[in-house]
Formats: sequence, C-alpha cells, structure tokens
Amino acid sequence: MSDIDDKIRQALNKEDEAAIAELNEQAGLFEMIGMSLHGKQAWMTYYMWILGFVTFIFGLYALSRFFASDDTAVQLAWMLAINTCLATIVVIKVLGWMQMTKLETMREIKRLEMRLLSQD
Amino acid sequence: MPNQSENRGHSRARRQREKERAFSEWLVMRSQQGNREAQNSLLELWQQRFYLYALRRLNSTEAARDVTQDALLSVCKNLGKLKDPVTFPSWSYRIVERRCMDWMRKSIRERDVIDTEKEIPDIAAPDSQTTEINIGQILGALEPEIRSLLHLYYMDELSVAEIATILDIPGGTVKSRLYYARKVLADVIDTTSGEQK
Repeated sequence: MSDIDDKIRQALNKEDEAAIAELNEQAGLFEMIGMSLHGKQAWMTYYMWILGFVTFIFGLYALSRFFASDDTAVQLAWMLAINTCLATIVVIKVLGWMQMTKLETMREIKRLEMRLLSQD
Repeated sequence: MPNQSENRGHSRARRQREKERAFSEWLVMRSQQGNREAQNSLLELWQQRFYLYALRRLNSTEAARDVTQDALLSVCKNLGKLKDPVTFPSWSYRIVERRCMDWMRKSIRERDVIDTEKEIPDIAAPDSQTTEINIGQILGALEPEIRSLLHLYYMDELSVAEIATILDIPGGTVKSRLYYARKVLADVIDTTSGEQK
C-alpha cells in the first residue's frame, strides 16, 4: 500500500499547490457572477436574469413589429415598447452589478473583521 | 516501488509537520497569554490548511473562502477556551468541519438537493489510451468526505483518533474509509496497468 500512499500524497500535493496559486487571486468577473448565483440572495439574481431575458425577447419582438409596420402611430407605440425594454434591461444590469459588488464588499468586511479581531 | 528521493521527501515533509505542530502549540500558549503577534502567526500558519480542507470538503472556492473566514473568526474568539494546546489541530479542524456542515446544510436547503448516502461512488477507470494514470482525477471523483479525510491523514499527518474527533465518527469508520479509498485507487491503477500491458 505504501506505493499507493505516496501516489495519493503526491496527487494531494499537486492539488494543494494549484489551489494555493488560485487562493491569492482577486475575484474576477466570472467569479463575481458565480458568487451572486449562490447564497441567500441567489433568487434575486435568478429573477433578474429571467426578467432580463424575457424583456430582451420582448424587445426583439417589438423591434421586428416596429420595422414591419407602415403606420407611424403604430411604429411610435412599438418604439415606446422598445424604449421601455431598453430602460428595463439597463435597470436590471445596474441592480445586478450592485448585487455582485455588494457580495464582494461583504466578503471584504468579513476579512477586515478578522484582521481587526486579531489586532485589538 | 517508490524511489528513495520520494521517501526522503515524505520523511522531510513529516518532520516539517511535526515541527509545525510543536510551533503551533507554543503559539497557542502565547496567544492564550494575550500575545497578539502569536495569534496572528498561528492564524497565518493554519489558514491555508483550513482553506484547503474546506475546498476538498465543499468543492467550491467561494464556499471554502467563506467557511475558512468564519472558522478563523471562531478560532480567534474561542482560543482562550482551549484547555490543551496539543489538541489545537483537531479542535480547530473540528470548527472548520462544523462550518462546512453548516454551509452544506444551508446549501442543501437552497438547492433542494438531499444526498444522505455516504457510499463511495463508482469510479470509472481512466481512458486506456492515456499512458499515465492521473491519480488526481481519480481522487477528484471520490466523495468530498473521503477526500477531506485523505487530506487530514496524508497532508496534515493527523492520527486516526484525531480524524475521528474532527469528523465525529468512530475510529473504526475512519480506518475503513481510508482502507476503502486506498483499495479503490489501487484497483483502478491495477486495472489500467493491466489494460496497458
């Protein structure tokens, strides 16, 4: 079994080295997105993604109707719908970013809390 | 057969662990006397290991970071209550393990995924086309509980009794899980070696 023990030890060592290398890296964009999909407030992120997708699809539909119509009044109505969709998507994106940065800030607060606790 | 340099490397690592444990005991005593520098050194010495343990247990870097932070806070707050500094590794790992369990419970509630089975999953043999057996992949396929147990046993050189305390399971179960993990890995390696011949 000692051969197996050594192989296990080496494999675990390699894993550890890779994990340690990753440990000190700052949270990237995808990591931040990943963070927002977990935790107590994950439902909000999912809700925003779904709402954003639905709004985007409706926006595309309104755009196609806008170009298909010859009546100016109808075109204006569809343009209003497109405008509303764009505004909604912007709001969703802003809220999404706020949510992501909030989670990152909470993480930093925890780190600070730990540092303060060990220094006072 | 493992070569001599690997054996020497392992002995060196073991001696290093023993030294670190002795140093940790001293740091725990100094911390309990109110020395903040000792406490910082103690946390620096152990935080990486806690993170690696939590990572193996939870399979998520984000969760591992959160759990490690919570565990370190708890260690800081409760260090004064630790009666025997010698037991610091098992005591602190027990805290990390509890935090991991809390995270998993929360996670199960959130994802509505209930996995109460503790069986070791079937591990597919590596592709026979590969000339080198990637034992890391085989380890990755093991259940997180077994992986964390292997971490404690091989990387932290903790005794079976200490691991049993940390995981809150009988010593016999620790032994049987270690044996089973080794057997699974040996079987996969044997099978692959046979196929390659």
